[in-house]
Amino acid sequence: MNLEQIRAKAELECDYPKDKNCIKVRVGASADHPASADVLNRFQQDIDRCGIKAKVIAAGSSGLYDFEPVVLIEKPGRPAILYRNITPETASELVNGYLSGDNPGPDLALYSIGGEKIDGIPDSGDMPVFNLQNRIALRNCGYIEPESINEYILCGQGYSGLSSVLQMSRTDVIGELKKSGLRGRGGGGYSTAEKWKICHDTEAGEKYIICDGMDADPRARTARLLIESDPHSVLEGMLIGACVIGACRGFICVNSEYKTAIKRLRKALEQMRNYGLLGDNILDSDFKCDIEIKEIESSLVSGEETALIRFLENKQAMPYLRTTYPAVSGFEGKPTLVNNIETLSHVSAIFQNSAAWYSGIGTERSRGTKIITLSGNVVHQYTVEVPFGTTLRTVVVDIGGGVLNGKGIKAVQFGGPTGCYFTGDSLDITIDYETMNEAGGIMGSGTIEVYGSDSCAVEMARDVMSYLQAESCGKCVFGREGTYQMSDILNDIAENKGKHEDLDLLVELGEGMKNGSICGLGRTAPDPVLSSIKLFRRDYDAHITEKRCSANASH
Amino acid sequence: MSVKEMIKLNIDGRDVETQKGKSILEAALDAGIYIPHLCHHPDLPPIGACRLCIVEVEGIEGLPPSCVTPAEDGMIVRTKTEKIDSMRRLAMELMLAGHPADCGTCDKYLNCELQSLKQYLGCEDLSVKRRSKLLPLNTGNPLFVHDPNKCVVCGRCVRVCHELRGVGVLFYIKKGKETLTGTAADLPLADSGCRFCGACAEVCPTGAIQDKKELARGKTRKAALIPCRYTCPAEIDVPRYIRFIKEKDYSAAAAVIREKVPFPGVLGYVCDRICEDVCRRSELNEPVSIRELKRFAAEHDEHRVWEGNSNKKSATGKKVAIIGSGPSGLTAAYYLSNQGHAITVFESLPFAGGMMRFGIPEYRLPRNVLDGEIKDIVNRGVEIKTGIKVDSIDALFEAGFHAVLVAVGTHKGQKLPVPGADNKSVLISVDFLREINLGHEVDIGSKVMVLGGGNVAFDCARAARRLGAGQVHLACLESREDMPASDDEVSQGEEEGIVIHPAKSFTRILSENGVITGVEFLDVASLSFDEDKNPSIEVIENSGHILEADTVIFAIGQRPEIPQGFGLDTGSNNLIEVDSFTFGTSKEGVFAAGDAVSGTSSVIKAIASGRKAAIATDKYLEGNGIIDEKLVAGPELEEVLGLEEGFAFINRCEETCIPPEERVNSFCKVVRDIDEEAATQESRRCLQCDLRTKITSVKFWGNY
Repeated sequence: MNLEQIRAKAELECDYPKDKNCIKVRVGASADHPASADVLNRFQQDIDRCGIKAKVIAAGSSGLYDFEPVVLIEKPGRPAILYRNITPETASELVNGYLSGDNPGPDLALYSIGGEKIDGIPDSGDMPVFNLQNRIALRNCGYIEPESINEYILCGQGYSGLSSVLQMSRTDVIGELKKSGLRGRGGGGYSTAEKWKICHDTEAGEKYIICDGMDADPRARTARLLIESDPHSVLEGMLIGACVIGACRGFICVNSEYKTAIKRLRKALEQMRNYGLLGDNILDSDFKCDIEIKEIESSLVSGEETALIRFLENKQAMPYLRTTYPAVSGFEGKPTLVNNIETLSHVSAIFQNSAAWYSGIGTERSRGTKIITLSGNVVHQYTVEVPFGTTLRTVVVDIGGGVLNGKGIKAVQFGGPTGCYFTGDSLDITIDYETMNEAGGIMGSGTIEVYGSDSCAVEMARDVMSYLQAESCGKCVFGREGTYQMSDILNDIAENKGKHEDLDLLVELGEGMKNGSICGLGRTAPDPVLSSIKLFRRDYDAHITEKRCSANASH
Repeated sequence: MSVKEMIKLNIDGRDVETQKGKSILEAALDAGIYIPHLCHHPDLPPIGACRLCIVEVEGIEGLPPSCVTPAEDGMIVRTKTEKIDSMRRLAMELMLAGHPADCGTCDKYLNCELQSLKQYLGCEDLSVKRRSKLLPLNTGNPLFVHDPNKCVVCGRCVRVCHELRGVGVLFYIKKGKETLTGTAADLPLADSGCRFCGACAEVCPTGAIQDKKELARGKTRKAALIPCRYTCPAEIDVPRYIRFIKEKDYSAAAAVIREKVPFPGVLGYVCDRICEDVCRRSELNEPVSIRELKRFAAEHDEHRVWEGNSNKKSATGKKVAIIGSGPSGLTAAYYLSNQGHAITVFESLPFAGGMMRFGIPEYRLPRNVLDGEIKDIVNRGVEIKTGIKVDSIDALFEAGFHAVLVAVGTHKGQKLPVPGADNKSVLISVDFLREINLGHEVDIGSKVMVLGGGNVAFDCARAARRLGAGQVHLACLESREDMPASDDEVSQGEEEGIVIHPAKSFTRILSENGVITGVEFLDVASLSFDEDKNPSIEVIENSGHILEADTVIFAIGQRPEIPQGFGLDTGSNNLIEVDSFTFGTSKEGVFAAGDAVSGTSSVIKAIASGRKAAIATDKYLEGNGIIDEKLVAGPELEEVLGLEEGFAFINRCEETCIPPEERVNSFCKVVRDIDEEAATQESRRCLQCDLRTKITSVKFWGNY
């Protein structure tokens, strides 16, 4: 089947997207949300009872966890309205009031999108959480039904990216990708086109593509959100990558605890197979590829690509020191393209739209958008997607709502557990690869951990180092013993048993770890500690010299 | 294969040539430039974990570990700079932080790579925080002791287990905050599918994984690691022939045995198999049935590859007379003949074989096996003259012999001088057995009492049973546990109805009208032996009692019969005195071997003695004394063992016998033959302890 035939088949099975008279009720929630099933059922029952022409769609989460279940109602002739925290009772109200009648229920609405202004409902253009985001990787999350390939095809331009790639030469595809400016979202920010080119140029009988969907940083919810809400955007990206480098086998690595995500992935792959999007002659071309799901126990090191490769080789999932790129010699010594799940969702978006469109977003050298999850002491723990160049303050304060209980921000840690800290005064720094690197930080997983003004920097560093020590795989001396020593020393300081020389030792160990660790995790593990010493020296001095905690009087 | 491309690089100002593809570390070590290293092992893939081998390379940022950095043409490398030194020391200090400081109490002391590196880098005082890991010592596994406190997580054991052996039961694991290596879920090794190859202990650079001390104490490394081979008096390469049996190449297996002994079949029946007593497999469950496997190989040697591969040297023109055709004499004859000497063996009895024929009854050693192996020796050009009793060695020299080997064995039995011992129905073990084996009629009576507790006593008792004695008793001084006879002799004897009376002292043999009626005994309270092996017996007073018998056989040891005309010095028990190194007797050109030197012993010891005497005699005759032969190549060492669940629990293939009620009716062989499946299964039980010795040993910095 080619794409047209697939679309025709999809329309046969799924007629509502094109039906201008059909109301669409899109109920969006995380898979584990306790009320979403009841809300869905209530909508369906009430709609059936009232005999309204409406379709209830079980969408996934959009990342605005606080408001779930959210419901997006697209009523013909009206702007789409997003409702928040819907219960079965309020669902009934909406059916009776808005679907049957004409009361849009302003009390329940978060905002309306486009069209005429509705009384009592803010316009999305006035909502920071809407207008500060630019959702590319997350474009379909919370909108389409993740368990329906038809929705992806009909409502999300699904597989049109792959279809156009199959019409192009591989070098042209790489050229387009280069033009888009896409950089790997795994953390390092290496040019995706460059990586694909290396893998493409390496001659080998077999090649592989690996999608890292591990969420190795447990606070990042990127992979979970993408797979649970929109698996096909990722899978289409994988197929494009496989096609370009010449791989016939792909592995999508998923945290084994993500049961719903795995279930939806299985379903997605089955649907793809039914449409001939897996196996031989994909979209009537000579491209063939198959994708397997690999369930992996998640740990911080499982985000290291070398560790993933080891796991796929049935070895202990530990990083190894590589002398060549996996793109040259990876899984079983064969060229292997390892891409982060977020990157691959961008890939499908780029080829569904255009490289020029994509390259217009973001900053000069960091093109596009970044998924960010807020955590810690912040009002809204959202997962959002913002253009590169957005400031930390915008994300933390404007979107996240700042620190709980109106307290000030002591610091934010950006990029995951090995990211460095930024003080509350320096949040105007922009989120992009260059600025982060210059500041000594990392893009990492893109998570932001927020600390209120009553936090102690020593305790912050101690807690993160104790976590890193526990997560260190233990293979290399600096990763293993460096985190051990640092964790021990920070414990001593936090317990007012530290000495001034301890700080010198922390710095010395930190330098050793940066230079001497096998993997990125070990090399960046000292960063939070080193940055906290630099930024919050007073907290350390208070513990060491005055034997007290400067942040918390009770210490 | 094309010749490997050579490249040149400069290390510390020295131009070094190396093969393309080698790492900087390998290139440096090959050139004799030492770079400290710990996690690197020459047989394992490098991982760059310990950071001791870091170097500076022009054009490469940072301090790359030389073990994983390929050497490239034109590279300029520095291995010793201040920066490198401080990073190395920091890495070393980090490893030492959790390692016990008391090297002196460790069994690895002075043999420890970590200790050596600590000295090299001069890390005595640590700037980092010391800690005690306080992890429990694991002594619960067979063969090895694991002390995780000494582990510096170099990962060699994990790599050797996965990459070299393909077993993959060892992993990096975490216990609390500590990383160590061990099995998944901390399973005992036996439950994990471990093959007990010992590679982990071999490559461990510290004292973390060590062989259990009790298995190595007082032994050379070889004897501790491959005890079967190096406990065997003839040092037969046991693991190698077992490996051939596993590959179903029985002729090759037989050839391996024949590299050390000319009697594989005989030994397959009667060897006292001290190799099995020390087999490391017994630490897991039971030893490998080495003797069964040897017999199987010998009896399935269809292609006789040894024959074609054995090289007989050209004639030296030297003649050697060997007196006695027992295992030591014939072994010496065989090897001396191979060395090119003309050999004549003189045997006083009508047939060759010595104790193998006239001592060991046929039911234990089928005569066709013995005959076949003697024939092989004759076919090699050895002349055996039977029925000729040599009385004078000088006469042999006069007859043109250049050397003489006395291997007359111990064929003179003895009686205890107790009242009644001179009765004609009181027999002597060796004489009794010789008569039977000569095919002579022996009147045995119906109630036989054998006095003695060794293998010969059992041979007499079991032979008597086969001759028709309805009741056979055996009494000995030793307690049941201390009886010198081998366990299978005792158990098979009992199955055949032999009644054993341990801890008895015989005081008199009773008779009426010249006909024996019984033996009077006292119960023994304790028995000990002095330095000269003379017994000291303490009997229980008033314990005298009589057991009925009509025939009595003394089986209380033998001694050699050395004719006066030999003119040789003899010592206690009339044993020939020899120089323990040269095997030379008191007479120039005369050597001695076997039981006549050592006293009654086992066939394998006699063979080993024959080998040593052959070496000595050959050297005396100006040969090189090298009698070992390579009779077959291979087999390829199977370095990859693979995981095998339940490997530790595979049961031993025990020897099985014909039912006793059947076997007492004849002198037919008692043991059953094992089939191929059983042989293969048994050969797979071997731990292949020799594999470990093929692992390259690491050179310490002092050796560069």
